[in-house]
Amino acid sequence: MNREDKKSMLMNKHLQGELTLTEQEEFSTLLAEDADFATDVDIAVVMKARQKVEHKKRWKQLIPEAKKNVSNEPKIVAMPSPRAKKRSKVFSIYRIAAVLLVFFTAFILLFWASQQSAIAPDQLAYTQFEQTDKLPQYSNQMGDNAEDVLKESYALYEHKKYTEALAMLQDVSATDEKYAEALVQKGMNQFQLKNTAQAIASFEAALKLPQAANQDKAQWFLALSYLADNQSTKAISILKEIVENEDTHWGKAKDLLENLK
Amino acid sequence: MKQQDFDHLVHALKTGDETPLDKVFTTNYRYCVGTLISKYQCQEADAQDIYMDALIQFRAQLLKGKVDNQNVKGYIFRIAYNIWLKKQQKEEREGVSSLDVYETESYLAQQDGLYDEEFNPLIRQETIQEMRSEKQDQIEALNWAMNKISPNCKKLLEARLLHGIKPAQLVKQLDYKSTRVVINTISRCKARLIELSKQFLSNLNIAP
Repeated sequence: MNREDKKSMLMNKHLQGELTLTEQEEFSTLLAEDADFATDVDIAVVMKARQKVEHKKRWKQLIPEAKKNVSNEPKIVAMPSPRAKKRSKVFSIYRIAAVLLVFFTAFILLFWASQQSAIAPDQLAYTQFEQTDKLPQYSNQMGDNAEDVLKESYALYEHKKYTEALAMLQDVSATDEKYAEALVQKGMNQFQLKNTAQAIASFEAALKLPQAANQDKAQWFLALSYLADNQSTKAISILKEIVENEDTHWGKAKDLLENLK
Repeated sequence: MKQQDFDHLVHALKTGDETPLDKVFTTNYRYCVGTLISKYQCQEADAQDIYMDALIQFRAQLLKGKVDNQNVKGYIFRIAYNIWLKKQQKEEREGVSSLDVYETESYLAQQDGLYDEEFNPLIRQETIQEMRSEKQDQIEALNWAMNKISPNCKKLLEARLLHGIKPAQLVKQLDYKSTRVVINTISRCKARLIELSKQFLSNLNIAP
């Protein structure tokens, strides 16, 4: 850059107020050394200022109009960025998935509830039986013959060997004091083998005996057997009795009655 | 801004027609002045002044061909913001013994009645008060002299000193015979201007 170009550049920057600190120093030196340049700068400054004043005077008159001016240009609306759009799309997919999941879960629950309420009484009886077929533990000590038989037959029952258990229970004599217990176990095995009529007979017989061990169980199982045998009226009557007497299974009986309504 | 309007603006400015720029002024006024007031806590008068300064700079950039038609509104506001920023960071400028555009403009504007009570930013008042009376006389003298010189002289001096156009280019632009003629005319015009200025100062009984 020659000296004239340099001077022109510095003057231009001075007029724009854009001199850097280094250029400022250079400019000051030039002004001090070159009187012609200093005069040119002064003339240019006054010209520039005059020009600015002229423009401003004209524009000042336009301010009232400008204040009223509503641009015809389309309004700048903050549109979502492509990234935000993508994000919102992803969010909407998640949202849809979440809503679908909620609806699906609700549907499954409703379906399950309706299925529950629609379960046939015999099915209900078997379900309830499975939940309550545990008898009090027999002692590990060796007892008399009948007690040993009951212990072993119950072990077979727990291993789902119902026929074997029934065969073993034949060994308990009707005169034995453990006979009522044997009848309860017999009924349980018959129930599991879906011989509901025989099970009913066993439980009824057990209940008629004076030494009614596991009487609460026998009554409960009898109600379930009636239910499984589609004799709902009899079942309900026994269940009501259980509830009234607050027997061992009164809570279950109450729920069952609700379901049978 | 439509490309057609933008091209028209540039062409008009080059041929000395300022009307399209006035349209730019009114179109972008509310956005620029409004933003300066609301976002940067500018006084209305200051914001208007800054906006006008920005538009003058925009005009200069247009004439230099440094602006394209992309977000003109944003571009003008960016200039305005930079001016505002510069004013915020205004430092004492030492070592410059020449006239300063801002000071000169403030003084001339006041003399011209541009800054009335309603339009009188405080910063301008301070600038004028800080100016040495010697400088004020110098400005007044040059301003008076410029009104006295011929329009051709004024045009030539503006082109050369204000816009930095080289004599060789001016031959074509202003229809002169040769570069030498341009250089000589500029010298004569300058001499006339200085002479008139000295005359003004001597009338004030002040040595040049």
